[in-house]
Amino acid sequence: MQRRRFILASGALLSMPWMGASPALAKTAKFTPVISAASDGEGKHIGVWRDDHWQVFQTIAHRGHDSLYHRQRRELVFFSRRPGREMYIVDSKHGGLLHTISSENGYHYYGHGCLSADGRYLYTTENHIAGDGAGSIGVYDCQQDYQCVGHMDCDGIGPHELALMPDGKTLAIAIGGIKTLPASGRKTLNPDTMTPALHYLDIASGQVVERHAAPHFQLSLRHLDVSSSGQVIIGAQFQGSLPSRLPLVYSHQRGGALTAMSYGELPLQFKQDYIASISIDTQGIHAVTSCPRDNLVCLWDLRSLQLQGVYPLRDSAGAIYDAAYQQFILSNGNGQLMALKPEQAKLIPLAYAPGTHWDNHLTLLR
Amino acid sequence: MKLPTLSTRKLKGTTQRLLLAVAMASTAACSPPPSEKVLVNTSKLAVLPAYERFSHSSQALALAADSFCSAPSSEGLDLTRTHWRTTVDSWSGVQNLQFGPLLIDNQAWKIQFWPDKKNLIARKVEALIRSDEDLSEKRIDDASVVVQGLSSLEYLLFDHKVGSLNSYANTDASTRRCALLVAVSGHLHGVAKGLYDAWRPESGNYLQAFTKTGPDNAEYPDDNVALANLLDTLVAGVELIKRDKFERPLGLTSSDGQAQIYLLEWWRSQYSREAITANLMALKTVFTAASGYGLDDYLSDVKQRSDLSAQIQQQFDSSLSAANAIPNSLFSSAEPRKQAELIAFQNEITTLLSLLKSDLPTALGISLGFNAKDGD
Repeated sequence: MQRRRFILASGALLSMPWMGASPALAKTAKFTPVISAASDGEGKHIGVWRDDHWQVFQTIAHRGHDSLYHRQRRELVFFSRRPGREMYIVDSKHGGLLHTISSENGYHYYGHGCLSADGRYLYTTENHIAGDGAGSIGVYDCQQDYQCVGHMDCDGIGPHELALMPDGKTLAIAIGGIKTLPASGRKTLNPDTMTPALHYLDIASGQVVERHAAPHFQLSLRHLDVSSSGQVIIGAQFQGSLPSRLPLVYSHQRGGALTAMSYGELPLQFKQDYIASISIDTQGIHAVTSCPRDNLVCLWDLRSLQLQGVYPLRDSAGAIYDAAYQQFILSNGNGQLMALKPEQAKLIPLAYAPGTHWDNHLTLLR
Repeated sequence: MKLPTLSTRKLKGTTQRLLLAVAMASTAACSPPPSEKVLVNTSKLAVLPAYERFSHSSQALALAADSFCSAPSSEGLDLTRTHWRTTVDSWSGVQNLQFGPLLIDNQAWKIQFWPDKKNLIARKVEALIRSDEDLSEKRIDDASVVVQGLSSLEYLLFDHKVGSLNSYANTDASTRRCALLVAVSGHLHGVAKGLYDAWRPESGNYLQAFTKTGPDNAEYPDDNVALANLLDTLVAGVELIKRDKFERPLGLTSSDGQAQIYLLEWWRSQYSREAITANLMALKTVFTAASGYGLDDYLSDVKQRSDLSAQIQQQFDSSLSAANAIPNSLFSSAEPRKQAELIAFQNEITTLLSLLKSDLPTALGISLGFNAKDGD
């Protein structure tokens, strides 16, 4: 019997030839150099990766996490992963280690930081160990060799990633809600009483001026990015029994409510409920989230607040928008750097560092 | 540098040795490295046959549904149900493959909508039957995934209210119900064939993408990156069985306690245990590349871990035996926490997961996920 057949819309995509479509890496690999922490068989490192090699490379004692580029000062700032107490300042031109900053006594870093609008101050998320694990924002003077000049209370346990709002006056802070103390390692001490949230802190007064609780007490809000229009996209990691089937990515505008991004018509179910990096493009049209435990990357439409596409990428890690080449750059634990172009259905390889595990976050040297 | 002078005799011997070395080198070049052998053998002997079986069994299912609906009879319904079960068996061989075309554009969701916490399948299928919409394969492809695939067919064929001969023969909606059964099974075959074609060398040839790694390969810059996907398949597959297909719905984990029996995979057809067995057999075949050179041989030859290789195979076997020893369907277990066979299987699958998740990555030297394991 002859059955009627037709080409399924998705079938057409599936039967495209898989080989030969992408020319050799060296000919196509175009991207702005990325700043990242990484590990390999030799140890733990921080540096700048350009094309196919480390342009800046330093070996450090503990695992790094996020980083930033201080453009005016031509300096790279690397943050230790929790519960690390070191912050490394590296000369972006010559690659030399300029300073190793230690957190104040009684504090450790959570792995993220951002600069003030004028580049004078650096703000970091910290654990006030001596204050029974209260969350704190460290303030460092970049012009005084990154000396700590004070702390602000962010009024929430476990502040993780933070970003300066476009007004230049406010910090958006992802409050993870997870209480840890170095004496008990990375063990969560408050699994039943977590209060994850999104907080806005007014820098001038040091006061939290707006706060939004996560929709579930175990939905740890850890990472965020802010668009040029002030739209905050925030990602969660669920601490309860998996899978939670709760939305994991939320959008927020000052004054509004926390809005769950919709999976829309694309059925997507996270099995591990773990969002790592978040990056928004310069136009505020798309955001990308990496989901290392589910081995995928999600592309979100910021206007409709809907999922636009899903890209498989094993052990996905960092995500950063590279405006010069109109692409998101993604890293992973396999040593791959890939480009995500929203109009393309597949990721494009940019570089490969065999044996290197890229850490969770990427920033750009630009 | 001054070259040493050689006597003619010495030169002859050197030339011979050189020639021998060249010959050996070229032999070595013809014989692929063990990692490539694993990729080629696993793809050709485990992965490709699994997709082929899924494509063929879904075709047989579509034919059976067609034939049943041309003259509904209880024999025709039984035969269609049998082909549905065979297709679930073959899908269970594909379900856990964590790489390639299956992951593009959410193909898996077109095949199976599970778990269905809000009973969406029954609602959406019935709504579609009640509507006056055309019930073609094209319409099904455009429709929500809830009405597509094996889950929708399970509802149509096994639901205790509507999955009986009476629904197909004696009611006002019989014609439309049959048309939907035919369209969904035809659409399923289209998806299954699309996946098989995407892998076949004669068509999409993902087989080559997965086995010929290197700098020009967009997805797999070297063999280790591809091998990591086989490791993920084994771990994620056994994790899915343990957590989502067994412990969680039966309430066997201490944190949950309460059984949520309608979260079982294939509860309507009471085919949950059989699907687990099919999963385990398929995962073992991935580990051993059937009778070819698989991860098991790679562990023994390259990593000198024949002990672990044997241990993993034995643990697959004892997990399979324990699953087969469960006398009743999981759905009908009265008190899961007190049923010895269920606890025995839980112990076996827990040991298997631990071997695959802890021992195997270490032995292979492949990280299960650097950021996945301990991100922040």
